[in-house]
Amino acid sequence: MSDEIRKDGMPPGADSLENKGEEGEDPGKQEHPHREEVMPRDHELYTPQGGGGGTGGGPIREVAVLGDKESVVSGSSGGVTLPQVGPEVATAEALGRAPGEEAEAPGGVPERPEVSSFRLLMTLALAGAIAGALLVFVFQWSDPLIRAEQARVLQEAVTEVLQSPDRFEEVYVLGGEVMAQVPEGASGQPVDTVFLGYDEAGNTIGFAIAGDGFGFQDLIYVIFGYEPAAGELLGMKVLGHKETPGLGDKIVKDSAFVSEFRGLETRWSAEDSLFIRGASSTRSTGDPDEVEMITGVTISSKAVVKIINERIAELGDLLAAYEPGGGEATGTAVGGREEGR
Amino acid sequence: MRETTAQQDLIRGVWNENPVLVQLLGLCPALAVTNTVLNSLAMSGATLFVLLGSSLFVSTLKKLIPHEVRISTYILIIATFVTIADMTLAALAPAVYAEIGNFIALIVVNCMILGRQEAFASKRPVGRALLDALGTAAGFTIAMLMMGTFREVVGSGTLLQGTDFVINLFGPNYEPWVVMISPPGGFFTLGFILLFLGWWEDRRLKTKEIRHWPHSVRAPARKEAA
Repeated sequence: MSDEIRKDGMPPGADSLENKGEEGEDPGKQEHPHREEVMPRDHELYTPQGGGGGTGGGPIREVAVLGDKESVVSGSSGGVTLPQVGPEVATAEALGRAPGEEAEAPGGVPERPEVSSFRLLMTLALAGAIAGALLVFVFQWSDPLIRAEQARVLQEAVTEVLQSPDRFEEVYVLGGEVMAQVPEGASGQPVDTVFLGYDEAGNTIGFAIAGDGFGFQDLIYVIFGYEPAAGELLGMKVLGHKETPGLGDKIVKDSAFVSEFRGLETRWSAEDSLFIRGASSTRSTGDPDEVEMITGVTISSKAVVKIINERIAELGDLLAAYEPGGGEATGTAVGGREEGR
Repeated sequence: MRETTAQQDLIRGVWNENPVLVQLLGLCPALAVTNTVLNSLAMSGATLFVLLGSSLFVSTLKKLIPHEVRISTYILIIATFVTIADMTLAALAPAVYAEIGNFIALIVVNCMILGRQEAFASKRPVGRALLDALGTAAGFTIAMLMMGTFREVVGSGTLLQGTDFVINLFGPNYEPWVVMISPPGGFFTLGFILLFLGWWEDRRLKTKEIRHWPHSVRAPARKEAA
């Protein structure tokens, strides 16, 4: 039965494909009957390899081999079934699937009516306009949420680095002066914002100063609490970074490193022009102005120390001289750190 | 075009034609953000949203989009949904967004999504396109979770890090394989998974062949008799 179908009922493409595998003519087949019957089985299993027909792209073949479950199953059910599942059918099956469908598109619809440029332009313009309008709505919904979240994160960070102040207020540094309010007409100038914290009695605790600098990969954003009178750091928190996960991000996750900044004393020295110093764990002397670097995270942890040094150098004296306007902080000692400079 | 049933459309992308593990599409997110389970899940969620949204629109508008500008239009549609996903994630899950935010925007160029639009959604009815999108996204999620779980367990020694249900698997003395949560670890993990799946598939096909060997032997005898 299978013989008849093979001679008559087989699609024309099937013959050539089979021959391709055999590399011989009809007489050759007769001489090697075993081989002929084994071949179809291979063929059924690896359909597209035999029936590539010039479309033997790598991904197509892989997908079809793994994905063409039905053809594998149906082929194996009835012994010699090659004639029913001709290579052409199988090829079409393989091509009918993603991503082989791409290959079908250009050949399948050869004649496409001409579309005017105006229509193309209009389609894109319309799609762009609709997309833009949609995004405006989503932006209007999400923007306040994102801003609120950013404000919340900042507030949390200030609270953390100032060791839970009763309240805090914004103080502005503008053109070498510290002020509680930005004067009118100063909108164009760069304003440095720091946060001044108070305890329950209304005494100032210290300033929360934000800063940034280059770490290993990108800018590291840091906020730290600073008490100018005693020259003491109150705490440090990394607001944002893009350091290597598992290594550089220890400046956030290593609690021993983070807690070292709490109560760290600043000591300015003319030799190195630094307020606080970083030291590797082997050279650490335990000085109160020394931060022990994290092993393997030297660049990132040094960057944090550098940022804090730069910001204290920039703002330390200004903030030490600042007296809050309300008069409730009269007891604040000013210039306690001045002898260092 | 081969006719498929709705069930096939849904199931196909999940495993047999898994976008990441079989078609090797969408590898950028699969390598970049799978260092924790939570990041993998968030990325999968964003991709599901983009895939569903763009499949819906592409399939609905397929008759209106001229052939010549179809790719530009698809990209525009995809980019719109990616931006929506980006803003939504930033608004609703800022902690996750801080970690994978950069890669959300890159979903636009994920060829898995454009591939589904070009190969499927632009030629099929809306319902089928949505089923296909669901299946593909499920397959993507499976691949992402395979990688995310392995990388987090080996690379950090934890499971579900960043959530309230974090599990510390190996105790305090475990020294994490930091390389596994860095980008090279993504390549290693994907390589090992593909190696294993390839070996498995090869073995399966060979077993099948051997099982049906008697047919092949008998068949020639029948032919000679005829």
